Amino acid sequence: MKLFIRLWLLSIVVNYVIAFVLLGFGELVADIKVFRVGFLPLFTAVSTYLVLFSDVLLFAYATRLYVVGKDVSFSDAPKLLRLTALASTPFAIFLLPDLVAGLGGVIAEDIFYGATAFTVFVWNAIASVYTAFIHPIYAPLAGYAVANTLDTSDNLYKFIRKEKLFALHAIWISFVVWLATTTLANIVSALVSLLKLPIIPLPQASPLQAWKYHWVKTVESLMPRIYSLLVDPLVYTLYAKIVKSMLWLFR
Amino acid sequence: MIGVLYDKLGNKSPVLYIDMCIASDKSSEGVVEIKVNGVTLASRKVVVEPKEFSYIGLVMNLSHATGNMVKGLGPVVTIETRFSNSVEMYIDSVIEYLYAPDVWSPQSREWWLEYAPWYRLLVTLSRDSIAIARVGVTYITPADPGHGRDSVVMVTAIATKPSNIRSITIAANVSLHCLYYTMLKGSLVRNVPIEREGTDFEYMYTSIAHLWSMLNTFIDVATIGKYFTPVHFSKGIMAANALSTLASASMNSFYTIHGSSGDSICVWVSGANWYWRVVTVALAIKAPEKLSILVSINDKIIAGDDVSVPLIEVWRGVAELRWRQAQDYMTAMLWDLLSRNLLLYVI
Repeated sequence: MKLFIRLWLLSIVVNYVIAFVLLGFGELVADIKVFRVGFLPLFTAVSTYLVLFSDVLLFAYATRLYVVGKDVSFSDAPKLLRLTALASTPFAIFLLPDLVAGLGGVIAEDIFYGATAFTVFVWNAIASVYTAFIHPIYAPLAGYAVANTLDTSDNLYKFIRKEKLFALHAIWISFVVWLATTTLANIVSALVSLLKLPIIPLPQASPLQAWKYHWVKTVESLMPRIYSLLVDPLVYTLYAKIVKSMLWLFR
Repeated sequence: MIGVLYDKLGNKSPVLYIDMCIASDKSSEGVVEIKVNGVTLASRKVVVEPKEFSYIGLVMNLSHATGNMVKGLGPVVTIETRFSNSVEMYIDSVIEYLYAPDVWSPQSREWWLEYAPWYRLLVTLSRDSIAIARVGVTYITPADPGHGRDSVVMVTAIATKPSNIRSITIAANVSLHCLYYTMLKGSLVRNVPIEREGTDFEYMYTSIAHLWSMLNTFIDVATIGKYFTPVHFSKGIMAANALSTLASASMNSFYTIHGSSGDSICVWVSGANWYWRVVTVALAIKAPEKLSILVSINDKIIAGDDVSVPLIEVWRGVAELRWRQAQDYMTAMLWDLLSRNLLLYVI
């Protein structure tokens, strides 16, 4: 229970960080007076990176607690973050064009319009294939690698390359966990509709403020919900429990 | 281009009407040039005296404007002005397509994509000025199908400052389905060469937009996504949805919001293209015959008007249906227009 509460607290922190980043970028984009086209790819890059990074981090933490069976002390935290950042390199590379186009689009938007268009509409289509299909397999594997190399001097990517069987089994485990937690979240949110509210209330806009209204609604649709706070830690706990009980499969 | 289609039928269409009133605090002298597809059709010298309006009225036949650089989008009309002092301009313009027998009855999305009437007005302004430049596209229901004259009416107001919009005029014999205004920085309007329109790049974006839509559908189906549940508990899918949502929100979009009092607001949001710093639309439909038009710019309402649109008996019963159809067609048309031209769409 103690471990679960710690995971839960970390998950809350992660969800609030994501929510505040969404809110901050939402404010920038929704304010037509300060809007720069570069905010869009920056928004995409930062929010997506944060979501994916936090996924690996939570997988690593849960795996460390439940599978490796060791705690993460405060002194381990910097290394945990560093290893998670290292494990995040694949999707960081995917989001690099957004970052470049975003910064360019803020500083010199006339010049970077084409680049922004390309990254927002073309490149991100490729990135979304990665995040939807590859990441759910990669994130637990990366988390598993981070959890195992935290107190060793093993090379993270060597470890990841070694665990091909884990990657194979991650496909069905991810699907099972996704199905179970998604169903639970739907039941919970259907029973108590208040749980569907965003974790941070957004400022409202009149529909006649077309621009602002549009972006407020967009950000609201992306915002973590109250039920996320309840179900999110279950995702990682369930995953780690399944992995622990099936460890023999990976050998 | 729809004008070409009509040329074959009547050789007198389309016709462009432009009425301009020019005012200034100081004496000013200048030239107004009207260009269609980059070719000067008319040039007028104008002398503006303080506290007086100078008026220019022009009627031009655009039937010769066969060069359509934006493929299927109609002529590009540019108003270029050169004045010694800054002036205020109030412009009403109408483009009218005559001899349009059946083509105005909505047929298919493809029809709209190919023949959608589209009319662009460019205004050159000084760097620090702001233009509300153009642009209405209206879907018009014929007053009397098969008998009456069908027309397309554009409602355009241009001013050097948003607060200078004085009036919105709408022809009374048509049913206006959408009205929108675009505000641009003068510098953008002036500096962007027209030749950039209609390039292969735009078509690449059209393809990408379609691919994007297919990909989203695929992800939804593959993950049982939206069909199964509105809630996702995979951060990978969540991120994919975020990417997709942000990209969709960055495109131009056109939608209707139904208010609690029974009215509808038709909203166009420009998305991340050259229309940036834009815009609002707003057309509140209080009843099929009664429209309340609110124009807001930069999220601020700047003009409003109630308009009664008389619809003859034959259309009364289907007006609501037509309106819904029109929304679909407009959405389809705008989707194509705007996705085709996405970010490099240049007025």
